[in-house]
Amino acid sequence: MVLGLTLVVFEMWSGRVYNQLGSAGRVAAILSGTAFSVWGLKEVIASLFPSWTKSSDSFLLPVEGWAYLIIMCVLFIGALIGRSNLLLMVFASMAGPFIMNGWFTFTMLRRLNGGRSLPERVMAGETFTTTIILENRKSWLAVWLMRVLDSVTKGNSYIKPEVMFVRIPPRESRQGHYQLRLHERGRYRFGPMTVTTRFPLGLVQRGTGLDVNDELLVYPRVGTLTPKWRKLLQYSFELVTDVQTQSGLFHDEMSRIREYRAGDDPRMIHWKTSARTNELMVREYEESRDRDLLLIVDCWQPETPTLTSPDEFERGLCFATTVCMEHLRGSRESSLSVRLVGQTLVKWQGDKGESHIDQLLDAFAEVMSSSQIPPEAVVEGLDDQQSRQFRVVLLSARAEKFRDELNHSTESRFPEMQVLGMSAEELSPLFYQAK
Amino acid sequence: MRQILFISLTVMISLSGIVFAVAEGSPLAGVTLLIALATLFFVDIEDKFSVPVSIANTLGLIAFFVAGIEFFGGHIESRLLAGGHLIVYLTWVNLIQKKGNRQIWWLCALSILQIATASVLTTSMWFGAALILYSFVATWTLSVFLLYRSTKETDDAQKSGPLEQGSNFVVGDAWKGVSRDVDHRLVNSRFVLVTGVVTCLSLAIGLMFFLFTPRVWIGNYSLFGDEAVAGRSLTGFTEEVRLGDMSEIMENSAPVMQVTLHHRQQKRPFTLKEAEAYLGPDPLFRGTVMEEYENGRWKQVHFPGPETPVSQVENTTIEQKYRMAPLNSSTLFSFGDAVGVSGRRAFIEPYSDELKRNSSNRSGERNYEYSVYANLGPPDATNSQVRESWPPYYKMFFAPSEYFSGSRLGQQRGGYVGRQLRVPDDLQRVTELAQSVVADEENDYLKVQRLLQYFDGPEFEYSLDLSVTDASVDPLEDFLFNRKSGHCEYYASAMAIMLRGVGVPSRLVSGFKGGSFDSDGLTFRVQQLHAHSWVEAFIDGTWLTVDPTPAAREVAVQELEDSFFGLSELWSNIRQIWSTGVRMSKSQQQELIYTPLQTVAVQSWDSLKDFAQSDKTATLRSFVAFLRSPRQWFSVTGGIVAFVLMVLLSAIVWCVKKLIQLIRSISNARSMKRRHRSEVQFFDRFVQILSKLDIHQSPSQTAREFVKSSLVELKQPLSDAGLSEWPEELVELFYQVRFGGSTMSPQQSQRIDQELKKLQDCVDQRENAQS
Repeated sequence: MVLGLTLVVFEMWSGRVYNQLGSAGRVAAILSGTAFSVWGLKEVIASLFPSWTKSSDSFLLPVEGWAYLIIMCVLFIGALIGRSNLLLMVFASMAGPFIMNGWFTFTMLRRLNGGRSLPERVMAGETFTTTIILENRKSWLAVWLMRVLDSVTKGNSYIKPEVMFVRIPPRESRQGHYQLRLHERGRYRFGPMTVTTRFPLGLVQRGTGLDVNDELLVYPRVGTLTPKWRKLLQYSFELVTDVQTQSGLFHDEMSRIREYRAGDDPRMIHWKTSARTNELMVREYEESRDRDLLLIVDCWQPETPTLTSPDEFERGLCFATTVCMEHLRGSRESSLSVRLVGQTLVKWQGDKGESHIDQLLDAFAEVMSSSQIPPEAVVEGLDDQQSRQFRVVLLSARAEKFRDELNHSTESRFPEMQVLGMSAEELSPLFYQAK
Repeated sequence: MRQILFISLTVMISLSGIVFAVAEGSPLAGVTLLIALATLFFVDIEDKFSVPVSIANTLGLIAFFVAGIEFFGGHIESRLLAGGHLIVYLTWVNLIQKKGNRQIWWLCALSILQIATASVLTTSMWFGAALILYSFVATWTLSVFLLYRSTKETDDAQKSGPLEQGSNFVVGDAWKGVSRDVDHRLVNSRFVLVTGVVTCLSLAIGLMFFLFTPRVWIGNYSLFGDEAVAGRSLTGFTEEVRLGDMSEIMENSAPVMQVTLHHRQQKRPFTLKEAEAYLGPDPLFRGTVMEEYENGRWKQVHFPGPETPVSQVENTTIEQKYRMAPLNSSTLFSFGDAVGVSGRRAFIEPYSDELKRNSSNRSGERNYEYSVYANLGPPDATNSQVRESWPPYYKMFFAPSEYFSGSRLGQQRGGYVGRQLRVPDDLQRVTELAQSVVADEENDYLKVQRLLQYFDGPEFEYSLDLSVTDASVDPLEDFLFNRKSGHCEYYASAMAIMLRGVGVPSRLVSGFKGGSFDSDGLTFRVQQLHAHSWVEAFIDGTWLTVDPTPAAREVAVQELEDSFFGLSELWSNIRQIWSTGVRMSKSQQQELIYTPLQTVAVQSWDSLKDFAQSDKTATLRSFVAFLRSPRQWFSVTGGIVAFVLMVLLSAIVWCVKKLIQLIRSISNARSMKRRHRSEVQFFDRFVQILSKLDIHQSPSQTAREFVKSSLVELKQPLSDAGLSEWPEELVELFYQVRFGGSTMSPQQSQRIDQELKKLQDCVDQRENAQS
């Protein structure tokens, strides 16, 4: 702006250009000075009031562009010093492509639309594909070598995957894909996108922003439960006397006949077999694994977490997710209930089968830990009937506290509750995660 | 892709090397072609050989060293060549390395620098064609390079694995993707086409830059000055001339002056026969006299003295009337025995007898007219001697006797004459050669004759070629001992220095030789291509004209004349344009570009004002008349009218397009709204009812999937409402109406409405019961 104003003032005051080049030169000098001033003023306003301008446009002169410009300047000055029209011609033959590069990048970036296609939710550590759609709404000019830089953020962290579109004809759109693998669960924000190009010569780079925003929920990584987990659940449930009649194609009534042992319930004697074998035989029922499960996840974390606390918490959530998924996948007759006690209380009641699993996964994805959760709040609201009906598993970082309470309390409402900690020592035998 | 890039790079580098080699006249840079081809196969494609970075750096240092030796060992021209050679050496060093992005960028930069250096070494027209070709090749190469880099980075990332970027806190891994064109080829016909279009537009923009960049030369720090201070200036018009300048002028057919001859006493013009007899076959028009030679340049030496009085013109019988084209020079020309001159601020220089004019501001002047006064036929016997025995190519140049009388002027002239014996110290070889040619001859005339015979020998030839065989020696020595081929400047310079070497005072004269009569036979036209240099030798108190240039010069000039008339007008115009462009000065730019634009702008503005103020009916009539007369179409007015019409038409088309788009978008929006409102409203209500039960349709679910998944939770409310299978019917109806295009009957609508109401009531009851 200052240079432009100086040129105009200088010419108006001294008339130097007019004397040397005539009226045409004066007009050219004043117009150039005015144009520079206006452009400079626009840049000043843009820097002072960014909200007034479209701040998503960017301009960058890469290293090779700077080198090109320096060579041009050297040739120009050399031509003027050496009074060489041919050297000036070489300078002009360099200036033309430079201007063209700038104009081309500017024009190609106009009238572009972008879109993104994401899955709704993915698992942490799972590689998924994101589709970027770029539409060229211009009527006659194709766009070349458009580099679309997406932005994936979570909190203070971000990653910028990119897709290169080689060519998009006018009035058409193209799809490009990039793959992403997110390590942590949570809600990720996608966007805005930045489209840059340097076509055709790579001397000038321009960019523009596309305000296309999306969100993606990443739920904890599902692992695999070990047989020890099943054994853990079955431990206290041998010889169930509460026989449940089951029907249907997939009923899972498990029973076997064995010899009578002292202490067996006489009602379990199988008289027919006993008569045949001439020995007292009893029917033994195994605990059906299709018993309804109530999983309580205590999202408590100490106020001053240790180095391993966040990892333990995440591990616990992964384990809980795995348990839920396996239960829903494997148990067609029993239900799953989940109680997530975090900053907010989330109750999920699933019917038989995998319906509404998405809501549960969303809850696992977004649950936040808290240091203000009192222990009684964890089981608050649960009644005795639920205790009898459900197999209760409590997962907590303060498992010892709950175990002590269970052991020392005679009137616990949940005498059969399994309490598990979130540490690696406790959970590693029960499930494992793929790297 | 990689091969295409390397081949393009090889072509570009080879082209720049060849251009530089041809401009320099030396095959050194041409070796680049061989090295480029060899490295293309062995280094780039086959990958059999490449030089490691350490050795390349060492070679680079050696290149600097060699160039440094060249730089400090020669003249100004050889210093420039040293810089050019350094660029060539560095090109070779980069060629033999394995080429990454950095090496390729270096090669591109060195290539353009070679072209830039070549532009300083030549002004021939072939350079223009080479520059255009180079622009195409370079634009193509850079485009292919960008394509290669962009897709290469992406492909490598895909092969190697994820690229973590963007943050110190790793959120994940990302793999880049590439979306190719439909034919999956990167370099296809479209790419070629777009690169061609870009190059053409670039050249057009470059041409605008070239034409409109003000020629504010800053050489010798004379900013905003247009006078040619040194170097490449027109022979005969400046105080300093460099050997070689003549060849540029001789390719230019621009007019210099027109001469008409008049009998003063009889007050009538010469007839054609008289003019031909007076001027002879190739008249010499004397211009600038230069006395001092150094390092390939002739300069004038100013000796103060009184101007020749013009009173003598009263007794002359012939008046030569000159009309000179604007040359921005103080030099005037004359033929034969000029006694006096009259013209605005014209005068004759003492000692050198040059005709000049004083002019404080010659820039922007049009033609300058002046008259030279002379005598008919042989000179007046009282003033000079006639030597009839001299060979015909001698001409007597007459000097007033008082210059030799021992007057103060005569002594000064003797001093002046004495200076014309000076030979530069570095031209000892030339002196020795002259002495060997002249041998023991003591007569000055015979010395001149012997030297003339020496230059007329078979080993010397006439040529406009400026190639230098040995740039480390003086151009004169290079001419005499190496090339033995050159144009009149070289012959005249050599003659003058050799005469000085054998004790005959000599000086160089530049002007014009030859010309042609106009069709009317009264005007003699002289063009740039008639530029010539010769020698004046001071013998027996007289400056004698000595022209050592072989007769082949006349043949060459005639061929040039014929070429300008024999070739097609287009080719001739092209050559003219090229010559103008190469030598364009500030005043020429103003005259050829700025002033016409200014005139057009002013005329257009005046026309618009007239149109605005004039009677519209009359204007319309004149417009119709303009349309009816095709001759007027091809004029400035026609151009302006065409431009305005095109702009108006484009604006109208654009407005109509926008209007159509607007109407379409409004119509589409309305119809969509209407359709949505009437046909899916019932389904929207159903979804809203379900949302009260906390059952929501996810974006990835179709309507059918949503209803099916909601049946489980809806089981109880549906059975309470007696609508157990109803949602499936509802969704099928939705599909028929929304996508099948069928319309609902009023009974259907009513039934749906009732059922929705039932369901709504049921849900509300449940809600109330729960709360």
